[in-house]
Amino acid sequence: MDAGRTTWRRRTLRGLGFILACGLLLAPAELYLRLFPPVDLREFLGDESPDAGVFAADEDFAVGYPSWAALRDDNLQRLQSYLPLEDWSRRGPGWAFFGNSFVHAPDMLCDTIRRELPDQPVFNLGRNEPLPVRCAQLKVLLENGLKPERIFVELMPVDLIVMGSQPLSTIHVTERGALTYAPRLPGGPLDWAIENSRLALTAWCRTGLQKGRPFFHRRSLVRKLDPDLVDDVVTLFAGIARVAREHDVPVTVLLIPSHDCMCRGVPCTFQDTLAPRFRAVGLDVFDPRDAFCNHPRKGQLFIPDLHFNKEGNLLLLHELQAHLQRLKASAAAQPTSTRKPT
Amino acid sequence: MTFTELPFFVLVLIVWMLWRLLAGQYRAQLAILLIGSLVFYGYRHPLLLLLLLAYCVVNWWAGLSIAKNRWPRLALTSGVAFNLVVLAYWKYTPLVIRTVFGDGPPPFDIDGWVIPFGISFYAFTGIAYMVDVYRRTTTAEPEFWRYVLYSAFFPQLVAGPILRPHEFLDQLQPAGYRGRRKSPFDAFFLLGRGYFKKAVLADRISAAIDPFFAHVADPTTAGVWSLPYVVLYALQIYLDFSAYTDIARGLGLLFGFEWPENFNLPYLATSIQEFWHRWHMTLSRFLKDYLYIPLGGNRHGAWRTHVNLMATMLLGGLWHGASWSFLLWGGLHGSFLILNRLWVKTPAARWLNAQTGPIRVAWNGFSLVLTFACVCLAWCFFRLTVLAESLACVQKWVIFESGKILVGGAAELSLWLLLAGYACAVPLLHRLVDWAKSAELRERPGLRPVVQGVGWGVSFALLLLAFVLSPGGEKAPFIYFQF
Repeated sequence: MDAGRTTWRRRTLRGLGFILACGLLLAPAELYLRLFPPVDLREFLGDESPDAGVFAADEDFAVGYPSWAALRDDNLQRLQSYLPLEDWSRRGPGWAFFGNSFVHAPDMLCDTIRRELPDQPVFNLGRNEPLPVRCAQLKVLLENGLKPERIFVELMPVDLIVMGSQPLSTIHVTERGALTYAPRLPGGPLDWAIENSRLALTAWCRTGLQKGRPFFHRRSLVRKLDPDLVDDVVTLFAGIARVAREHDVPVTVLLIPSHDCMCRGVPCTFQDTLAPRFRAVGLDVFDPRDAFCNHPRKGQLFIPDLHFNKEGNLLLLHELQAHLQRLKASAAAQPTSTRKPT
Repeated sequence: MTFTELPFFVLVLIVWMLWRLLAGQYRAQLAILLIGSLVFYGYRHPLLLLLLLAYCVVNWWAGLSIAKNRWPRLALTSGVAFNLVVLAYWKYTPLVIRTVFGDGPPPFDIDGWVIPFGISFYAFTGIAYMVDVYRRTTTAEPEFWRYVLYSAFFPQLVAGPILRPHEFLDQLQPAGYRGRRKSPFDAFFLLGRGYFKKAVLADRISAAIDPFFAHVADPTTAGVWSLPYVVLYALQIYLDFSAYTDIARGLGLLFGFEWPENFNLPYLATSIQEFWHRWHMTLSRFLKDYLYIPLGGNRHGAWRTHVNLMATMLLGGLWHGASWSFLLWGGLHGSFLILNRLWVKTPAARWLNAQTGPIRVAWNGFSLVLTFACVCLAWCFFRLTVLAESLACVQKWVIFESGKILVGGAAELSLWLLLAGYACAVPLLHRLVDWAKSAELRERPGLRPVVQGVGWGVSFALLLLAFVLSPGGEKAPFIYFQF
């Protein structure tokens, strides 16, 4: 009996020592993380994030700009040549592009159009942004005087990498205007610890399970898209369609085939899944995969970083022009009363 | 495989569980350790196992030949030559090609040249073994598989500590083998401390200073004072390498092997000589035993001693890599050592060293700062292997703009606070560990479980913090893995 009591007492004392040491080391660590949250943790801190930004919450796209001035100041360098927007819109039937580097990087599609079609006004902002921010830019620009003949929104699997792991519902714009994400919680008593302790939140974030879709893998974007992710994307594009319709501007979604799709035999699931959904919300879809996949020298249409080279961009432009011609022809064939922007 | 990636943790867990399951079965336990070590080494590049095994075959055969007196001198010479020639081929071919062909096109692609990891360490282990067998300070290992385990045991395979043959081989013999964990408390403390130093401190410093060193000769860093960055690099390399040693020693203890310490607060040295008694102690010991002393050591007068010192340090520098800057690093340390030897013989040095009280304290403080400055100066050539960049870094020690004294990564308050916090906590932790093992505590049975609990708590908290506080993203490899 005495031996048992001694063992129990020894274990208790050892446990107390263990807890005491953990407390003594973890308490300063908690304080440290409160004072200096690591960069990769800040986007999960909600309104406690020290980051500041130019955004505001938005009903359509989860993130938006609080004002025209906020967008203008954040993109001033590139925007300068289009200001005032009304004047640019009066220059002629312009094309406005929103997309990734395939569209706006030097010598890519927009520069190719400027070079090949010098009379065609082209608008693009020239910076890679998360997809919801791209949508928000489109909305604010249309509301503040941009009036192109047509809007082109380019979309590739790579554009959905962030949204793949962070659903729209997890986006939270802080009081300071930073774009953050609500962490996914494991449920049970751990929720309390994660919500109240930086140490616990950091540990949770280090596991990678804090993301809205923690098991998302970019490979799924070309194999089998998560239905929830597809719904999020369609929500955004339905928002674009609605905003564009309000301003009477037609929209074309550019689904550019990737190198993997063209040269490595990766299926075009991305295009096959999204194109019908986009059409269902009233958007025109441009899918030039046949022209690229059937090209006799398709492997030579790229520069080393797998963007299109000059020949690839020219092919893309010619296909786009042909697509627009077809659209015009079909619009002309329709009775006038049934025409509407697509 | 490195110590910070998931497959390594899985491997250790599996090997450790099997090793525990087979407790009491000497051969089976060592076989598990051997298989684990081969998986560790061949995980990414299985062909490297052939190189490792070739080294083992040659060294083991040479050891046996020496022991059996079959042309021992020839066996030793050919064994050592094999180790050095193969090592030199892998390590110095790019340097030779670049030097011979200059700016012209090399005969083959040397940019993609990869040095087999750990080759220096197992070559040194082999040389030490053959020389000691020749000197009769170690008996030749009759069993090949045991020799392979001695050479390739995964905790110390890649970056040491560089053991004297008897330090490990004796523990592998049936008589010396324990087959159970040795001091699990120490093992977990070393693992906790090692991972904390690597993941929280060294990698944080790396993230702060790497951009500066990448652009040290660019206009982007014009006018920036380089000293804070060099000091941070000095801390980084110490924390990174000593973390590796802690983890290696901790793993060794976990499997029942005890190895010597490799670092003893080297930046508290008050002379370069003392620095080398505190820094990478097992390499210093190796260079002394197998290079400096065979060259004649200090037995042939002052001039020969200085030549031997310089030769040892130059070769020690060149061992680190195929670059003239490593040679320069070794040369600087050789020069500092010679200057130090000359200085201590002067009357002024003798007078200062004989003082006590405030003069002595001030002199020690000055010596400490001067030694650290010399070490930092040499680190510039170690960190930046392009000579022009090293010189640009040294130039920025003295020529800088007053507005750019502390900018960029070196100005991160959070980093300095973290380092200061660690510096304050280390003496307390060490005192606690010493106290936990002291005789005084054994006499106070009521307090002992509390202190033991505290010790385990410290180790657990350090491991947890290593995971939580490490910078996110891809983990930086250990610096010494490249050597």
